[in-house]
Amino acid sequence: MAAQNNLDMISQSQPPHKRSIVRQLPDDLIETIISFLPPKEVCALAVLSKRFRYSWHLCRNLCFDREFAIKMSRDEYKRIVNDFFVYNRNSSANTFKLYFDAADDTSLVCYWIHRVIALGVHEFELDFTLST
Amino acid sequence: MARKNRNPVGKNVDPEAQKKKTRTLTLKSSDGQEFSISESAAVLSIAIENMVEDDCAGGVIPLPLVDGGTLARVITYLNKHAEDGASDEEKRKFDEEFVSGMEMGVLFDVVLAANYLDIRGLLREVRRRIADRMKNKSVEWVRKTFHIESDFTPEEEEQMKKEFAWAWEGVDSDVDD
Repeated sequence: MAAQNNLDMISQSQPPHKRSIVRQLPDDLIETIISFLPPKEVCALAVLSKRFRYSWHLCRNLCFDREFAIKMSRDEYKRIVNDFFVYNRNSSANTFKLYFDAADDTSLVCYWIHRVIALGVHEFELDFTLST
Repeated sequence: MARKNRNPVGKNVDPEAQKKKTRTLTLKSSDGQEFSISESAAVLSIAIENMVEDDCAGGVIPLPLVDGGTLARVITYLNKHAEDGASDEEKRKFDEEFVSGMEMGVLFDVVLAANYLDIRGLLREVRRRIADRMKNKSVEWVRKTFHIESDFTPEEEEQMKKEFAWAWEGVDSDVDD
């Protein structure tokens, strides 16, 4: 499948007509596009190149929902979500979704919520369902 | 609204705003095509607004980094967003349709133009749309699409995949279309 994709890309980037200029977006612009991706995808793209190693620090789609939490231990979930806030260096964000039993970590969750409010998210969803 | 609030909002129709609606500017693309646009629509681009304010516009505003096809698309967007009486809902719907049929190359052209012309709303919309199309794509696909060359050694790349092991959980990295 990968080889097929290579061929597709080559044929697309070298059309016979005049639109043969390869459009190159500046790195900063690519980085802001990446920041719209959800946490998992943004972190998987840290391997793109050294330039984008820390692009996940700009993530504006802070969607740590039920699907995100699947196969994750509570501690791992907590550490990762917290890392996103500790390292975040964006001035705004769009979305925050949480799926977490906050009972033993109210101050931590309060910290996250304070950060999220400062980032001015429009979409806000808290699910404190007790995970078993 | 990008327009600076230079005039106090009163009950009377702002004469300056009226003038902007009737005054037209000419934008000239990189391939020499000229487009007429009302000043009120054109100044939704902060870059154009600055040119108009500095009075360096003269009669025609040259935009050497935007080709005619892209400029035509951008002008469609600006006209809609400057339209009298267009509700937010209507504009949102327009934005949705405006970008939905565009292929990736066109999205790249439009995002570059929106970036250069500093049109915040359009920039946000197109960036979001490009990100939507990146979902579930492999790292290789992203590198090719954006012309990014990896400068990690294979060992470094392995190390990073370990560091973000949770992000790679269950990822079928070759599912591209």
